[in-house]
Amino acid sequence: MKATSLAYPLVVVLTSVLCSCADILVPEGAPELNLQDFEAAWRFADEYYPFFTFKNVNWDSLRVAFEPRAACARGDELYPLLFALFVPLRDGHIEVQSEAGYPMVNYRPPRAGDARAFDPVLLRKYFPKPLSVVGENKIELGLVDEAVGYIRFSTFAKGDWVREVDEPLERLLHTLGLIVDVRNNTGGSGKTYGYILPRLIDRPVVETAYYWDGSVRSGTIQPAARHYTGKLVVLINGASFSAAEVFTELLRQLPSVTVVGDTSGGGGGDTELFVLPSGKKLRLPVKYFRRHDGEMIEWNGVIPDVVVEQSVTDILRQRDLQLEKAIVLARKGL
Amino acid sequence: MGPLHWKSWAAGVLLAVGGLASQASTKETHASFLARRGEIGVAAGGCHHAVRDELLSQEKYTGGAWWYAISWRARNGMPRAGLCLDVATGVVSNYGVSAQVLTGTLRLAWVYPVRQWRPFGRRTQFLLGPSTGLVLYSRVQRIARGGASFFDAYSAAALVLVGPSLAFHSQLTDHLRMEARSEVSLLAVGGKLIDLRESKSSLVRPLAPWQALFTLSEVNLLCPLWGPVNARAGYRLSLLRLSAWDYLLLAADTIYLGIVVAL
Repeated sequence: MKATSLAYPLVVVLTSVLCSCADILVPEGAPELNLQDFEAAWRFADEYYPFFTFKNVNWDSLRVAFEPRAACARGDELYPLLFALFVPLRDGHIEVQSEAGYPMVNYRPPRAGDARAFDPVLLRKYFPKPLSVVGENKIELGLVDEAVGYIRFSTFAKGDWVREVDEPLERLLHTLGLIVDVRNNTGGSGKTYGYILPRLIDRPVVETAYYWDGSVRSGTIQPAARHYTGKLVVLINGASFSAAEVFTELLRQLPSVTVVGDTSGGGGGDTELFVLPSGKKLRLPVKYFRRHDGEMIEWNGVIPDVVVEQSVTDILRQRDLQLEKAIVLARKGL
Repeated sequence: MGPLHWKSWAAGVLLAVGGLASQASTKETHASFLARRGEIGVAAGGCHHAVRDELLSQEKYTGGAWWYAISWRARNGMPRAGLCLDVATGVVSNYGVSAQVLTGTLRLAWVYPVRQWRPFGRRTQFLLGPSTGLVLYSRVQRIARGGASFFDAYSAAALVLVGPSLAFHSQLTDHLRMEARSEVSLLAVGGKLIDLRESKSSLVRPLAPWQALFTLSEVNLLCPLWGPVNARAGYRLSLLRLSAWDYLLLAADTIYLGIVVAL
């Protein structure tokens, strides 16, 4: 046999060996528990998810449809399978998390595109002095003029950052009108807005939660000793979601509040985290809040008192129409 | 690029280079090549990634990628400096789920000849010196979007490192030269994307070798084509391991073909 005839098989073998080194160095993942994970996820939702009736979803039928696919799912195919399972619920609160806790969602609320029609840099041109930024860059505030203040909460994520609102808010208490901007605020924790709210209200407001088991629990939020007493204008848009919507509806109980902007995202649930057998996690709503008028926040969103639609085109034209309207309304009420 | 296609392609590259080496007898010899001051090179090839990034998943993802590199090296003077920039981009998958992976390295090494000898009459040289580098990694998952941000689920890491570089050069024939080298990180400053909602860990910090490791082993063959232009074909194996945050292990086999121009 000639040496050249050995060359091709030799090179193929050599190449195969070389190209397998990376595979050898990286070990395979843990044994799969996809079917167990699927069954646990279905069961947690079955027991705790509060919107099946409102959303008219036959949850049992979905188990029948998806269980055979779960039995065949390999590796990370569990993720798209769970996403598909939860699609009929159209719920932006539902997350499947990796073992490390990285959250993944596949439902984007239909009005979330409003996020592009808001520019936190553009709005600065409406202020004579630079805005103060506090609370780990999550709060910014300033004065439109001596009579109108502005405060923006970019998130209600949990954390101690919210305690930094006290001192700068003190500087706005003298104003006669205050714009509270929760546009593009995708929510967070009730504890966070629960810290802010008493500083903005001048009379008690009632927070009512509706649980998965049908129970209803109410609590009263009292004004803080030092609180705002002027007119409030709350700015929302389609990217205001979850806790930002509940916060807006709680403020709406006050007669001095006007909500301006565009209909919010429509996420009325409050979630808990469930651990699946493999260590992956599932975040599901277990209770929900309603609007001040009794309607569901879920899907419906918060509808502003004064609707001001804003598009990307407006932003490109260097106009924040919603903020402009809020400034007019804050001044008008003086 | 599936694994079978990848291996066939790589085998083809090796065969092509073997053919070039056998046909290069009338071209510039390595003696004249080595007499020049330095070289610049470009290379392209195929890369096979295997990755476990436990921020996103504990599953192993594998797949092919295209790999590109440009390099410069001083041949004379002490120390002999070398600079190399390479990028690989491709799709890795775990059964029916895939992700886009992008990796890149920028490395600078200074090596000194520490030993020369002539086994079988062939000039052979061993070089050693320090090296430094920047390693980048990003991965965008193609299954979902990340939490409240509405962005795609993604992960990223970066590493600035220093460590030793070893090189081994051998003149196999008048027209075929083999170069091998290996780099390993000893100290590094690294950063990795983490879930900031749940973790208070710092994104960037100094890392000990058991927390961050980058190794690169490479072997290539050079043969003259015409004038100062040489063909190069090689294989390299790189490994990135980060355990200071959610565990990341990324290995890549690369087979490449390139042109080297002597300066």
